[in-house]
Amino acid sequence: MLKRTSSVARVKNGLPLKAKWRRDWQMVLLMIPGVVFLLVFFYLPVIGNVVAFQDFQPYLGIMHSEWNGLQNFVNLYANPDFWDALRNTLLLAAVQLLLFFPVPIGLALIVDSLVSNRFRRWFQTIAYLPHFLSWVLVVTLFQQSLGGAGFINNLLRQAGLDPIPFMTNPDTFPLLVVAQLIWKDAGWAMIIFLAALTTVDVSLYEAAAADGAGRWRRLWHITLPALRTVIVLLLILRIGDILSVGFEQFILQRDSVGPGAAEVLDTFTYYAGVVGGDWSSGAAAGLAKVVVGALLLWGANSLAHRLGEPGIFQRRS
Amino acid sequence: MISRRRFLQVTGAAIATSTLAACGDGGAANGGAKASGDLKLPTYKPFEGLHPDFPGAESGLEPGFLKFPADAVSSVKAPPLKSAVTALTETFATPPPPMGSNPMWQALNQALGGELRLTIGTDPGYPEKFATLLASDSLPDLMWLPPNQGIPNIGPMLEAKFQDLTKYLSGDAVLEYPNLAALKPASWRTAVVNGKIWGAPIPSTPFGQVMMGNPKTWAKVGGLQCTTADEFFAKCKELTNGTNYALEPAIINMLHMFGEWFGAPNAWRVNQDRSLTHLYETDNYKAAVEYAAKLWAAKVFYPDLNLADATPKTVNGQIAAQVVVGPRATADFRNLDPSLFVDTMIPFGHDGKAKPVYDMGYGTVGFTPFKKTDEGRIRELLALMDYLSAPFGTKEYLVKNFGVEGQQYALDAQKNPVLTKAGQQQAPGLVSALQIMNSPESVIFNPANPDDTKKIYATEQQLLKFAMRNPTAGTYSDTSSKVGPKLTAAFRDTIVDIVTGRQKLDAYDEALKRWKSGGGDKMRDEFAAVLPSSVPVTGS
Amino acid sequence: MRPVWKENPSPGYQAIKALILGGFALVIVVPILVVISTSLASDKDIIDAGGYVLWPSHPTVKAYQTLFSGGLMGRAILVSVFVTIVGTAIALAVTIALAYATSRPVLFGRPVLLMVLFTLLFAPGIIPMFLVVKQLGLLDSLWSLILPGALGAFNFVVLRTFFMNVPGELLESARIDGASDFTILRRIIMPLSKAVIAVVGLFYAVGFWNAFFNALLYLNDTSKWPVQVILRTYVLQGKSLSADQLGVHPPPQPQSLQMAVVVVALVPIAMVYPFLQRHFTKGVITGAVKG
Repeated sequence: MLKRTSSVARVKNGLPLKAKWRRDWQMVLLMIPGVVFLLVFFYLPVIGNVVAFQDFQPYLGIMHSEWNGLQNFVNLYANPDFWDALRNTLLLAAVQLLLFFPVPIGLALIVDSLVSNRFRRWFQTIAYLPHFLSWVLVVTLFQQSLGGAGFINNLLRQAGLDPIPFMTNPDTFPLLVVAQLIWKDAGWAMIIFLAALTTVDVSLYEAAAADGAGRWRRLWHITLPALRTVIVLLLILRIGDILSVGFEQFILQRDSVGPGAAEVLDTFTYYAGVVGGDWSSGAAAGLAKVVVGALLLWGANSLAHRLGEPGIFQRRS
Repeated sequence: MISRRRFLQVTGAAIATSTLAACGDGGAANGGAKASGDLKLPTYKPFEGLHPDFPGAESGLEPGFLKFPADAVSSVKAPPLKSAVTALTETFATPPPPMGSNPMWQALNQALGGELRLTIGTDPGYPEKFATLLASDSLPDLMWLPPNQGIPNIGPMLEAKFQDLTKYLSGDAVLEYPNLAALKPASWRTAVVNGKIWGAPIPSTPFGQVMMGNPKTWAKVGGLQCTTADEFFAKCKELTNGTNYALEPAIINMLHMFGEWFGAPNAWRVNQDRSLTHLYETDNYKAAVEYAAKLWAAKVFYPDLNLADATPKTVNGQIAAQVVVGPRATADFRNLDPSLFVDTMIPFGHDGKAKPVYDMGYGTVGFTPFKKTDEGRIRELLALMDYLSAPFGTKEYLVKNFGVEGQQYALDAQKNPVLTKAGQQQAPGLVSALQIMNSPESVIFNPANPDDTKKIYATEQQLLKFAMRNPTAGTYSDTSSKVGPKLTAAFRDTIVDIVTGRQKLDAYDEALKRWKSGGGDKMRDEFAAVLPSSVPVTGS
Repeated sequence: MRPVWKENPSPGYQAIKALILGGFALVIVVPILVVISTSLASDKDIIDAGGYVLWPSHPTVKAYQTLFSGGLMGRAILVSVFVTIVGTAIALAVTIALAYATSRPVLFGRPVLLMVLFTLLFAPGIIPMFLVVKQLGLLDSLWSLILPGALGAFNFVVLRTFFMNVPGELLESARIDGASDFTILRRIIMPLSKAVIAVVGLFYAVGFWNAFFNALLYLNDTSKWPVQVILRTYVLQGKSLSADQLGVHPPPQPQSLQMAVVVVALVPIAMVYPFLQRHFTKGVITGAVKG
């Protein structure tokens, strides 16, 4: 099926503009609202990022603020704290990718294999609730249970044992962060995989079962391939966004474990730029992130193509 | 719960110490320091016709009232407005019902003679709102300028967009607005930048942070007051057991208290030769850090640094002592437990001999500048400021804070105004927004517990014996304004690391070096160059 | 009903599944119960517990009464519901149209796709965004909360990927039958992608429901504020200035009120999902292809 479309596409692409227009005008029409939104609410304001090359002052505006070339980037490059924050960010992102990313997939597979519809719905509804709690509350709730004066440590104390510093140990901080992420968002992230699972053709299972394939072989040969596209897609999106590991979650716990472990790019930008109303530094850090994000996105997407996946940027061919 | 309080303890408070100084007088950038010497502050003329039960004083001592003055007098002659005024302000309460469905707001408009259209910002978001309005050139008539929310380059910003009010307020000119003349010179200093007056200051309490403790908890160890740091340490150890802890985990605030016992200066020390030494550069502060680390190692701090609000835990005894904004904060504990009046720690010398210090606060919440406009409008807006700055006990004060008798408030048996049910809905958000734009000088007033007023007044008198003001208050350093907040934040990170045992005490000197080279040295020179001669040498 | 081809469950698998899902559900339910309990707790319960309450011994709805007195909250909920419904509808329409149009090799398809993908990386600054909203005359209008969020690149990419996975035979045969692109989108693509459209709709709805910062910036009239802005002030109020040495500080809200706020913010949006679940039925594609 893919082959046929691609041959059609090649023929189509050879058409003169006028013929293409005659053929595609409906599709172009469908694009217009989206394109207008993009132009007005994204491309127009995004030009404002030129303040990264300025010493921007709100009272002067973009037109009258002084240009200072690459100075903001030089400052960023020269700041050792920036590199620490970058290192922490990459470490935390890697841990998140490794330990968080598979969890919702696993949950979705288990839920999908449930026979009882009632239990299924019941579980889904509960699992996605924490997504709506703010980080402030999530961190607080973790502290209530795992903190130095929390539920578990109080039990340990009563039993005559030493409390465990779950929330304050810089070395285990990445694990804490992932645990919080799983608690808050695994149930929510599961939904998209559940949606993908609905596209699996049930007759395939039937046929496989008839051929004597057990549950694991069906999982391996039917279910996972069906999820593959979505998994790869979300993975690429996550990799492109790898330098944003979250702001609130970290700034809230920065004191508890110290900036040595909890300073990430977003919190660094906050302290280096926003605290003093330094809009330009903030924009410069933002641009630096764009460059890295674009490279990663492109790399991950190319890799996906090699593996025969459509990725995020692919013609239908 | 954890919230921006912790957030702002690190960030906001950091800014408080450095940016606060930034909006004082004298702009180094424009050589404004000299100009500020020539500036005549508005003549101080206290409001007459009020008789507090305990008199206030120039030293900062707040007047105390046991009950609301009977037969409130009027402090303005005519309604100030002829047309509508727009203003940007922030509320720290729940936003009020909008003007159209808020009778109290409508009554205020009527009393003012024109509509007061408030744009009400909230936290977070105020600095962004401020910046967007500024950048889009859609300024309202009045915009509250907070001193602690990281709005940089205040000097050039004011010159570019706002109205110089010097000629309407300097010296005797202010007497035309009697309620503004009743604001103290110390308050006015915070509204002077580049040697010009930019608005009416918004006084809050002149007192700074204090430590408060639940007397029931401390009774077990002979009370909160101590005479040496070792005694305090021993008491803390004794109070810590099981799930009870001696101290709130707000490290920076606690350090502030310890620093006072160890004789650390309020931000800067003025040496004999009139050079300056920063708090961080003093051995006293370093000793306080070492002491805090010792307390931390003894596990007397509540173990979760993220605790947002220790108040309920202090009330129920789980935490013995916490640091609060000032001596009047006893009311916060009364709110939770009406039978509880908490003790306030009076600073003591760490070895029982040295003289302690008590750091006074900034004193105002900034000022509210005007958009550039013509003289007629300026006078109208000043009259509005005058109205909204009406002192405690006046008719205008009642209209602004309580609304209309019989509607938003009623008088209780002692003739104190008490909000009615309608008032409780209409007032808090509106009053908070108005108070943050304009306020009279503060008073001590606890209508439900008049006895508290007496006790707080006595506490303030005791604290004043050790009072020290930030010697750079009301002066301006360019560097401090630009990089001060960042430097403070970075230094505090290291201190917290040291206290909690993540880094050794050696890291202190390393961090101090970075603080100095990152701008601290420059800051010191700039402040020293404009140090007013009226500021005394520290410790003399 | 168990399909005939599925094995009977072995007790071992059953137990493991139950353990995983049950355990996960438990660590979620208990904290949420604490939130709800605290919202119903009396002041005394809260002081005794030092903050959070596992089970209120003197339950009261005082916090909810406070929250809903004054009329501000009721109006804000209406605003939020309006913004969420209208915003989701517009955003879904725009995104579906764009995702479909770029899911096939058509005129301008590639540059437009690039245009959208670029937005994944960049964020426009607060100030330029404000200027645009102001120039369009959207300040103080609820449209300022809806329009800027009408196209999310993430949602677009997800939708487009699903649309691309719709079997090509279906589209070709429809074309041969003379169906227009509009018809194909409405009659084939959308019914086949019900589940993912439901998910993306949910993503948008949650985004609109949770948004608050735009409201702070673009709306001066407090009567137009959505729920989240007001809720935040309840949770955060009294905290900001009291942290430093400035004296103005209304007393902190009791914990019960803060938790009531969390519950109020949670319930309306949490109710959406169970309704969407019915679109998550299996075998839709099979049916469509056969029918």
